Amino acid sequence: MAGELGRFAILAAVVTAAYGIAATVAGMHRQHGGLLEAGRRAAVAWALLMALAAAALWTALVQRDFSVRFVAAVSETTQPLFYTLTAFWGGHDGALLLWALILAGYLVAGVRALRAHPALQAPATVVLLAVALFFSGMLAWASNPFARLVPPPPDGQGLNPLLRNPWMAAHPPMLYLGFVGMTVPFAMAVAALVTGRVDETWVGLARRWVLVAWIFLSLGLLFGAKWSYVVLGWGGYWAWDPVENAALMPWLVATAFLHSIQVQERRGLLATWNVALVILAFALTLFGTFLVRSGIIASVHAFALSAVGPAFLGFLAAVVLAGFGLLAWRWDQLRRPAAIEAVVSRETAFLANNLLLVAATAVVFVGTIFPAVTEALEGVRSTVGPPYFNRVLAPVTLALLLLMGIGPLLPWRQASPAQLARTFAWPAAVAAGGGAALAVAGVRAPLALVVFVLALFVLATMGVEVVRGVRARTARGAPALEALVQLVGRNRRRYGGYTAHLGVLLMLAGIAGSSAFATQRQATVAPGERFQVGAYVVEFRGLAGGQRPGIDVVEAEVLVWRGATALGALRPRRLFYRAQGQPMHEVAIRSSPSEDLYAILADWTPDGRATLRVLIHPLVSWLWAGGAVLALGALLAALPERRRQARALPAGEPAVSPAVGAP
Amino acid sequence: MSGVGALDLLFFLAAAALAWYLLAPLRRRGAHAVVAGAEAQTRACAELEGDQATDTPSDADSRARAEVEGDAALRQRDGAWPREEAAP
Repeated sequence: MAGELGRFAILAAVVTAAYGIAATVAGMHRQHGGLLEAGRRAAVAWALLMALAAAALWTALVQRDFSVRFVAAVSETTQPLFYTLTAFWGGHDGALLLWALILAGYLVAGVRALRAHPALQAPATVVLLAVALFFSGMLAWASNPFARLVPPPPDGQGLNPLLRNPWMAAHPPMLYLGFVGMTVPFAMAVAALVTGRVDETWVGLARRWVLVAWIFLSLGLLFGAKWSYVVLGWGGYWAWDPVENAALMPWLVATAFLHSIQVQERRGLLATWNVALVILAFALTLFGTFLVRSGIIASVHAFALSAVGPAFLGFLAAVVLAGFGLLAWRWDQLRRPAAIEAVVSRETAFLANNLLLVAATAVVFVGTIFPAVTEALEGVRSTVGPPYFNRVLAPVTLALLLLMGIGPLLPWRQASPAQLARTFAWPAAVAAGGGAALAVAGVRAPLALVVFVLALFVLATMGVEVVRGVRARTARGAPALEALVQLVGRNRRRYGGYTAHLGVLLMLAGIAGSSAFATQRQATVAPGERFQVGAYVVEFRGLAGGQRPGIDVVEAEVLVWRGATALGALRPRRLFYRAQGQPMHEVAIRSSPSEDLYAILADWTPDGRATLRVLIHPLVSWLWAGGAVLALGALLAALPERRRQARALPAGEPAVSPAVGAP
Repeated sequence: MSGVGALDLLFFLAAAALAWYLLAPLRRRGAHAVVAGAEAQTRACAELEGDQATDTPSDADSRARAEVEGDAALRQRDGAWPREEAAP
């Protein structure tokens, strides 16, 4: 029953989306309010139908209806309920349905958000419904999650053991909330282009949507990295894998947009660039999904055989052609008379930041598609590994870090040398002093040292800003803490941005620390034997066997010492999933703010000896903490600003400083 | 009634309800007036709320801070707005 209901919902959704597009286009053409209302109702109905389809799939999973092929592929009778529910996105068909389910929410919210802008609402509804039509069409014909299996097997194959982890349970929904969230700003941009209303209205509307999508995308990337760290058992968190890159590219472009819109809002510049960024961000979300879902990563032949790959590629091509075609059509209208007036100005810093972010995206894009291109052209799959990405992106990242400190403190239009000296004297002194202290303390890795020095510089620039703001309020009698809360509360956008920057600093420090100063040792030891790793002594106590439902467990007990102090036991495990015949690592981690001690049970012998791999990752917890700070900062920036009464400047006071005033 | 028959009936009713919901606005009298009404509503909203696109609170905050602080340097930095924008 659930299968039939789901199938009905998807087919009805296809018809509904097509009807909604036709009604809205006709409504726009004939200026017919009833038709436009019918289009909006189609959006609501499509969302409800997708919710119904999702509920049907969850029901089939919980009922363990193995006559549904997808259910048989991703669940089994011994699977815990939590992972039975998250198995929804544990396979290809369900993942597409998750995309559609999330699109359902964004579709209704996006159409509703534009109700005060009916001129934009109608074309945006058409775009959103067109995306909805594509995804429901895919679910109906190319990737049916309710396809039947005859005869049904007595038990399912079960969810891939690698996916049975809380971080992986949360990773796809977060990532998709980010990916699909880019659909709404894309629809707004296309609506602005179609109607010719390419003023700053759509940018103001799109900013918060991009920001929300960016928060989810950031969390999705972070959760994926954490999953890689705790599950894959290789000790790292980022491998420049095509799937990771697919999520990183739209994040980079959205980051560029979040900075460049400030230039458009403030100076009226970069209007064309901003439209291009939104189109690109959305196209890259589709490209990412295409990359993961088409099979092209494994082989171009798998892509050619799948129904999903060519359909996705066609849709992606349509989006890119339509988006950039419209942009070319409105090119003249998007051009602004304003221009960048000086090299040293805030708008130049934002422009440089944007160019670097887009360059980074291009680097990641080339490295990601390179294997598929070489396979298609030469028949041999050549891959580019982490060294390519690290070598090319390290200088880009350092330049972005420097701009993070300089940009927010530069004035708009132009800065005088005296101004620069006054603004950056303290931060430069802090960075130089901190760098010298780190060098004296023995930090020798050049790249990490540069990252730490630049991070200190950025931290100091933000500190100067906050201290100035707080001092301004305390001078009027407000207590310092209250002044700080007021300062942040009155301008959430600015201080949310600074908080997000603080998160980036923590993350980069974590990445630099864990990359440059990681140590590891592997040893095969008998019970009672010890070996040294960095400042720690590791004592192997013995192996133990155990069982969990459907899983055989082998566990090593390891005591950790630092000097004469016993720090406690670590228990790395190997899990054997009986149904899948698949072994898995369960690493043991002792985490502290300064470093992680990471233990893996690599192997063992029948006489009870174990091969243990122990790694020390300095500052890795800063990466996770930084991610949380980044998300909180962005959330703060996404909150609506309090509206205040405009205050008149005192009589006689010049509105603009003569030194840097507008011409 | 067989199980399949009941399901068919259920789907038929659901499809009918969906069609009724989607087609209802087309049968409404005076539907043409909706566009004009919505445009008027937009104008009213824009007047009441101001336009989000022109909302650059960081500028407003900087100005306020510059005033409160009396910090010439800060005013010089953050006060570099176009003249027409900075006017009260």
